[in-house]
Amino acid sequence: MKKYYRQVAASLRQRGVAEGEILATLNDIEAHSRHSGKPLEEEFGDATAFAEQFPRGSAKPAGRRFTVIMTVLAAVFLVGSFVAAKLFGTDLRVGALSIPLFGAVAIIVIGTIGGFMIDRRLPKNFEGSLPREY
Amino acid sequence: MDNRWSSDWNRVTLPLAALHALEKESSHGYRLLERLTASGYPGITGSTLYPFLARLESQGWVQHEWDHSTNGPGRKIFSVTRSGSDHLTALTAEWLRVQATLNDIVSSRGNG
Repeated sequence: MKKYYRQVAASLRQRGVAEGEILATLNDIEAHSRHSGKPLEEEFGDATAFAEQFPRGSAKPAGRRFTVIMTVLAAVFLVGSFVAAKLFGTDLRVGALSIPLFGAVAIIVIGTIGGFMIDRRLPKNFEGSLPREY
Repeated sequence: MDNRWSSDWNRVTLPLAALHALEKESSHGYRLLERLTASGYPGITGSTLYPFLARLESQGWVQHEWDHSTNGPGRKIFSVTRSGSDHLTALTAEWLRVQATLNDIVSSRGNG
């Protein structure tokens, strides 16, 4: 069930929906499903398709920002390494100096995976399993 | 009586039906769905309703207030705004014209 909420949250973030609206939407569908007694998939269909029906917003997803920042860092790191290699007359492709190349790739991979994980998180204060009267 | 109809009708008529229902009584999503279904309006599910309410809200026709009167997280109670009410008046007038025109066309069927 949490997987469904995470997918809806991630898709809504990709559409630029604000965090408060995402939290409200998850609360609405959780309460709706609890009341109707139907599983989320049955009541709301595919999570991504459901989220794609919502109007687009202008919020920038934190995960995407993280990916962009890490990619820029990797680029700066790489350019810096090339400049240093040029100054010292070494070849970046071999020996200990090949580390910057792998380092840049590693930063990009971490940025991509981290961004994905950040955007799939459940909103703060979302209590998908709280008992309640509806 | 079979009260199902094509989903094309839902797409066209849901704004009119939902705004009427919300103008009569502010509701949270599930209650609105129950009321529409009880009125004989078929085929509405959660997958249609919540994105639809979000669109109405982004168009400024509907607003929400938080209801924290029950256990757990607050619920959104939707109501019609002034602009939504004006839109509903225009939609209703339009619907009556459509209805009259289609009634004329349909009733003339078989009359030559």
